[in-house]
Amino acid sequence: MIMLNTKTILFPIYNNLISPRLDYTRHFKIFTIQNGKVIKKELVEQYDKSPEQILEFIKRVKPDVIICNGIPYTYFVQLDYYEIELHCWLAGNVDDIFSEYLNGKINRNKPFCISK
Amino acid sequence: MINMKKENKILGNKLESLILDSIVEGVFTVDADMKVTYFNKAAEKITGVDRNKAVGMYCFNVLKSNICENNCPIRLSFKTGNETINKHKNILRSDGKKIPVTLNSSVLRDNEGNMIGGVETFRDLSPIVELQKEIEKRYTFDDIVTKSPEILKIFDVLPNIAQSESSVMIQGPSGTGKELFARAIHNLSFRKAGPFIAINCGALPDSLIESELFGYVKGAFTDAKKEKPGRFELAENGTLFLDEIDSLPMSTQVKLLRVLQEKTYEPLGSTKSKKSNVRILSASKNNLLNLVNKEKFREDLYFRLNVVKIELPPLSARRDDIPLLINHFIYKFNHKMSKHVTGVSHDVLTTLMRYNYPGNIRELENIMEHCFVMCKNDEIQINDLPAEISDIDIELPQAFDTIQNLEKGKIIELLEKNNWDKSKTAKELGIDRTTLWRKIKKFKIEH
Repeated sequence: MIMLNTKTILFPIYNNLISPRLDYTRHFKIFTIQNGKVIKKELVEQYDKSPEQILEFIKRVKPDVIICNGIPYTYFVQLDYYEIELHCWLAGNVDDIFSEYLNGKINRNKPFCISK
Repeated sequence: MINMKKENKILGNKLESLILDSIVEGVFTVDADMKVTYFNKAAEKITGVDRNKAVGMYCFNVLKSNICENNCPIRLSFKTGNETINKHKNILRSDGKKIPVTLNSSVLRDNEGNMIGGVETFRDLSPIVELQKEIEKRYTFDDIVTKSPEILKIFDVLPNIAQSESSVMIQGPSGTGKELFARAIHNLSFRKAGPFIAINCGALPDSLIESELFGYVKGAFTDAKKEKPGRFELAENGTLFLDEIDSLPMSTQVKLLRVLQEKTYEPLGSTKSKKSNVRILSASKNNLLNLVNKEKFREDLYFRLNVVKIELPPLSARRDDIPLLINHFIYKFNHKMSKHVTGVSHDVLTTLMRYNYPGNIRELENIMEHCFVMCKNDEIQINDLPAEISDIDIELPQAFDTIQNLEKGKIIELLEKNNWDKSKTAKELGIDRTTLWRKIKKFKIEH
C-alpha cells in the first residue's frame, strides 16, 4: 500500500510576492502537495477582513505549513499552538520560495528575538 | 577651488547625515520602484531593521505596515503628486510587536522637478498610545501576553464568546487578569462602541450596592437629594462587569436575577420599571459552585451568570509566560518612566522564574515596577529586586532538574544519531516536529 503524503501550504500574497503582513493580507495562495508534487492550487480573497477574521480563516483552513513574512507575535503563538509549521520573515516571489521549500532549502528560522 | 567645493560638499553631506541621524523621527526614501534608498538611525530603531539591510529592499518589506497593501501613502503621493500628512498606521517591528506610528510622505524631486522617488517620515506613538490605553482601558487580545496552552485554548473560542450575547463568568485567583479579559471580550463584541462599566461588588458595603447597581430617584432615602443613575443605566447598550460577584448579598442577588430574566429593573424609590439592554460579564476568585452548595449564592442566579465559563490559571501554572510578561512590563515601564532598560540579568530571570507569585500577574507587575524605580543601569540586577523576593532561597527539587537533564540528553543523543534530521528524531521520540522544535528551543540545544 502506497502512503500518500499530502500537505497544504498557505502563503499570504501581494502581487505574487509574499505579503508583508499576514494579518492584513488580502489574498492567500494555497498549494496542496502530495508526495512532493502540486495537486491543487487555490487563490482565496479576503477583502475587507479584520486581522481577527483573517486569523479565524486560517484556523478554519488549518494548513500544514504557513510561509509568510511579517507576523504579529500573538498570531505566531496561536498558530504555533495549532501545530502549524511556520516559516516567517521571508520576503520574495511566492513561486521561488515555494520551490525552495519543496527542495528543502528553507530551514525553520528562529521566529523572534524578544529579549533586549 | 574645486577641492574646497568638494570638501564643502562632503562636509555638507556629513552634516545632512548627522542631522538626519540625530532626529527622533524615522526617515527613509524610496526610488520609483518602491525600493529603499536611504534609511536613518531612528527608522532602524523604530522598525528593528538594520539600516544597511533595509537599503535595496522593498519598503513594504521593511516597514510591514497595515496599510502597505491597499493604502500606501507613498504610492498615493506618486499618483497624485500630493503630500500625506499625519496618517496613523501600525508597523510590525522585527520582534513581532505592533508599533503605532504617525507618518508624513511626499514625492522626491530632482533639481529639474522630475519625480525620482518618495520620502516618508514617521514617529513612534507608543508612549502616547500606551498612556491612552491605560487611561481608557481599551484593552484587546493583543494586550494579553501569553503562550500558555491553557490560555490559548481560551483564545480559540473567545471570538465566538465575544460575539454572542451570553453572560460570561470569569473565574481565577486574584491578579490573573480577569478584568483584562472582560475588557478584551467587550472590545471584540458587537457592543464595543457602547460603554464598559465595572463594579467591584466586594468593595461596597451591602447597604450601598443596590443603589450603585440600579440607581435611585430623588427622595428615595434621606440623602437622596437628586436622581442618580445606576451602573445598569450607565452600561446601557454596553457591558456591565461585576467583579467579586461572590460578595453580592442575597437580597441583591434576587434583584440581579430578575434583571437577567426580565430585562427590567426599578431604581430605588421608583415605581417605574426601566428596560435593560446590557450584557453581563462577572468574575469571582472563589468557586461559585461551592458557594451555591453552601447556600451562600443562589443556584438560579449562578446558572444565569455561568452560561459560558472561563477559568484563568494562576501564574505559577503558566511559568513559560513569565519571560514574556517581563518583556511586556519592561516595554510598558520604559514608556511610563522614560527609561531605557533593556532587560534583566540571568540571576534575576532565574529568581523570577522560580518564585511562586501568590499575587499572580499583578504581583509580577509590582515587582517589575519596583525594579524600574531601583535600577540605575540599563539591565535590572539582583539587588534591584524587592528584598522579600531576592532573599528567598528558591530551589527546584533535585528530581525536577534530573528529569529535565535526562530529557535534554535523550534529545541530543537522537539528533546526533539522525544527523540532526528533526523529522526522524521527532518520529523516534513519538512527538510532533513542532513539539521537538519547542523542546530544542527550551533546552537551548545548538547544532
